[in-house]
Amino acid sequence: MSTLRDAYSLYIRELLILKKNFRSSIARSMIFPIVLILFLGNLGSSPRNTPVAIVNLAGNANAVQFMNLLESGTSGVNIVSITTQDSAMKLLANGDVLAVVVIPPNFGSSINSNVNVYIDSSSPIGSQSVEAQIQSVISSFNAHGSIQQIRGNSLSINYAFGASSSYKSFLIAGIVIMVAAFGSFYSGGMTLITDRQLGNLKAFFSAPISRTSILLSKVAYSVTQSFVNAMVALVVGLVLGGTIASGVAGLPYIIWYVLISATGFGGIATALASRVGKIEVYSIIGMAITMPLWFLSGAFLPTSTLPPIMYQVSVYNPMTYATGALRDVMLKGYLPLSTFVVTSAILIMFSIVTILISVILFKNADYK
Amino acid sequence: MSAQSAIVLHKLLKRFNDFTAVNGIDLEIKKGEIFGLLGPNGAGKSTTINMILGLIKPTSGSITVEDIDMINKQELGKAHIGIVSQETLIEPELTAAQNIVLFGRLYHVSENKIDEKVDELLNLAELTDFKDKYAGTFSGGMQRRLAVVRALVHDPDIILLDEPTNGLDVQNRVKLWELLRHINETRNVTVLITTQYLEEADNLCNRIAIIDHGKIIALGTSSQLKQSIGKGNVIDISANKELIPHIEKLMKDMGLESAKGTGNKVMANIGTDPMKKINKLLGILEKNKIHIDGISMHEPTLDDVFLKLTGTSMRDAVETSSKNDRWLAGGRHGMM
Repeated sequence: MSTLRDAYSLYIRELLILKKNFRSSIARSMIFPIVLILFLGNLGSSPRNTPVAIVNLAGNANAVQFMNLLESGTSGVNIVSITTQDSAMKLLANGDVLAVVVIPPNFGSSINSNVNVYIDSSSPIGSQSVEAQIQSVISSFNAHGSIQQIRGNSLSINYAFGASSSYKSFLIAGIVIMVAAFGSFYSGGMTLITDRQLGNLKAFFSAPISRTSILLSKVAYSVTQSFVNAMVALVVGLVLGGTIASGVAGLPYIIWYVLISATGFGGIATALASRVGKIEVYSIIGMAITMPLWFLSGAFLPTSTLPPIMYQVSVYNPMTYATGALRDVMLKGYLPLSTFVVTSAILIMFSIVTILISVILFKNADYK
Repeated sequence: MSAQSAIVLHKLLKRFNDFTAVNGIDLEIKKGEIFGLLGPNGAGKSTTINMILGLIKPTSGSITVEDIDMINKQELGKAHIGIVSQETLIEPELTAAQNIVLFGRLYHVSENKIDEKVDELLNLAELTDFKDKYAGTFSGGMQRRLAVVRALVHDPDIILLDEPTNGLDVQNRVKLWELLRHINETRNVTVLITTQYLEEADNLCNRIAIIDHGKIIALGTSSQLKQSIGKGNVIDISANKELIPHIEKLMKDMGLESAKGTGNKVMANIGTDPMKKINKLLGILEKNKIHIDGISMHEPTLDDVFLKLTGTSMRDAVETSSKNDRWLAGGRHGMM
């Protein structure tokens, strides 16, 4: 009991400091979600205006119709040049176009009139989508297309992700959990180290209180700061056009997953901080832990689309479950009870284990 | 051990790997005294303090605080101690009042009592007007005064101050001494202070232990320590380094047996008839064609005591030890 009382006294101290620096803390926590959502969330759903050169050897009505189809509709192909094959290939080699489409003589009127497409395969994402777009137009012509690939040397299109509003919401769920999870590294963990450097830990260790109470106050502070940051990220996401399919009813779930993620990662951050004396070393190790976990949490892409090995790793990443559950709430609009129970159980276990480890490490840590 | 003792250290020893920071210290600090642990950086002062506070486990030996065994009943003993540490231990992001409240709670003082204490202690530190100002905005002297009164929030029997005046200017240092003396007299608080400043030990402390290389090499009141090097004044002769051994020998030959040379100085107790002896010495030096840079006479200082006991001046030791930073304050262990 006295441990909890002492932890509470120390937690009040953290709150007073948080309150003192509240405005700058809010401003700081806005930058990350704004940048991510604006840049990643607003990119095209598939590459748009993909530059393509046409070599028109047919010159008939079918060819004109083919080109019109290619440029209109959803294909997003931008015909930048109609030219000879030689100069078209130069454009491709220079990276001025991502594909060269060669329309054969007698296009559309002979069974042997293959459309040849040369694709800049050094741009995997761009070339795949160009390929798919041209393929769909060709198939609508019932013509036989053959697709060849050449190596190009530069890219003109870097759109990695879509611009649909649903992708934005998809991304926001990942960002909210990320901010909740990693906020602890820059609150509880970081201040544990600065407290040690400033001599505050020495003062606390000299007081008749248990070390566990000091650690618990740091975890509680981590959770508080991470919660504030995650709510800021959520509001930023909504202001920038994200949506919550479940509406206000989903809010308790969002809060729950934010809190429990923050608790578990608060344990990891404080465990690391209790054994690392230097901010620089701590930041490097923290980054090495957080960045892979983030990418393997399905924050950007569904984990099911990850390569098999990465997918296997993502199964053991607690963030995956928080992100998945939050996405159900924010995109699908409902969270199946079984998912809620299973993910909550996993995250609660994760929190208990990390805090226990952290307490043990901190109990034997040096005061300076 | 007796009921008169505030702190008793018995055969206290601390080794860090192959480095012995504290080498078997026996010490008894009496209730109500201001006791100074004087020595250069790396002498083992902070390690000793940190062991008393339970921050570092001794390799062997025992520590008793107010008759409580600090090795086994640490938390009980901690409640009797207030601490002001080498680092500025106030929380700069909290106000003066919040600083005191926080530590009142950590030492389990009741909330009503804490409220009273805040006003009383801020008044004591002459910080009443700064009650709700952030401590980070305070001057160095104000921060130390706040740190000192904050250590009193739970009415401890003892306060430990680890180099509390490091980096303070003379005025603030004197002001802090006055505050400590006042606390010692009016509250019957035992004060244990570590310092590398000779003047501080000399002016403030009832008793002084000189510590060097982890051992106590002298113990007593300031005047006892000074008398230990002999009666009368001390002369210092400064000259070129190479001449020092020669001068030392000549001085011994003429009867100044306490002559001791270090660096570019020879010191000696001059005893009775100082002017006569100085004239004689100058005559001898001239006869031997030894050119000296200067000669001075002064009352014995603690530095003279340190010099006599260790063969180096404490002022020199302070300088050379700072090159040896990794041993400082036992802080070598455990950092990643």
